[in-house]
Amino acid sequence: MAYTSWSFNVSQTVGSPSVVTITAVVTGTDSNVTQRRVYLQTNSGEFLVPTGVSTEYNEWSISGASVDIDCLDKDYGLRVVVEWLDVSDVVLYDDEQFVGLTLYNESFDYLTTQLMASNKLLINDNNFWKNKSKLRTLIDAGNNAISFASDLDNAQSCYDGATALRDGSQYLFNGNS
Amino acid sequence: MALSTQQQLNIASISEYLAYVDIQKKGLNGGGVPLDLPQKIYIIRKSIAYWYALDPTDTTLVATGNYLMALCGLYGLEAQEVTASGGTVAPSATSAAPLPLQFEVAASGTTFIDGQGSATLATFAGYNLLFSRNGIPQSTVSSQPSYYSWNRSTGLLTISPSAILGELFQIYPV
Repeated sequence: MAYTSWSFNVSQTVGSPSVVTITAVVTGTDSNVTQRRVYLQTNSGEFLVPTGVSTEYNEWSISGASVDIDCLDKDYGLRVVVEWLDVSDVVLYDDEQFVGLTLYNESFDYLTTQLMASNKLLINDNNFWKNKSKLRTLIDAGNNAISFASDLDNAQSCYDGATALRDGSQYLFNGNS
Repeated sequence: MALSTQQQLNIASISEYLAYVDIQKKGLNGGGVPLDLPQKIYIIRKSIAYWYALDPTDTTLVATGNYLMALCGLYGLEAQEVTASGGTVAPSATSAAPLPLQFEVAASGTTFIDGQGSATLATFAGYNLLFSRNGIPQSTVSSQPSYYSWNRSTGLLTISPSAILGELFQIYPV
């Protein structure tokens, strides 16, 4: 028997923005498949792996429906490739997706929304509001770069812009005003 | 009933364009409506939508969602009409008319028995009535040799003359 379809989903979980979860979506069975590998490649060609992993890929046990990979230090636009291999490391199936992983900046964006909900006057604070608008725009623009063009370079530029706003939040988002 | 976060997000999405169009129509200074209101609604909505997709049980969504509704203001109310979440017309209860009664008058055991002049047809209450006696449609005109009266509120059917053994009665609710 062989797989009739094979793919995967990429997700993140609230509270763990550094973790990428890959979930297999496979139809059929194939006893030749004995291992899986996940490649997380950035726009610069670098492969993301957790600390201590020396390969370019992340091992994914064939018995697990999903795998958590703790390797993100900020938001990334990534090329994600999953390979299904046999014992001889021959790739039997593979799938590729371009994704934007934005939980760091989305979490911060939601935090600012919570601040606004609890302090209604913040919406009149031009500094706060202008930067929140920029933050939202940069995240959306990055997402659009990926969804419309699989453009990791420009997506990463946008995400990095949003990250810069988040990193400078103590100067740019005064929640007490 | 309180709006769910998903309903709030839908309302906000509609409020964005309603606000934009309204500001355009009002001309100079948007008639006093903040010119960047659609942008504000969008930015707040997007952050809530992302969070809701990740964790719809997050209790902070109540406060942020209500804040979003406050931003939408009157446009939010208008949007509720668009989404029909602001109320619906209650559908009338469907009802099936009771089955007609057809029988020959007997000495006992039938709706009208021999000599009986009236009966209450509770299940027929609320309907009009067609009454046929021995195959002849009856009327409520009391000057006729035989007639009936019908109280559609109480279901009381009164016939004249009284039922006679062996007569064929056909009573239809309409």
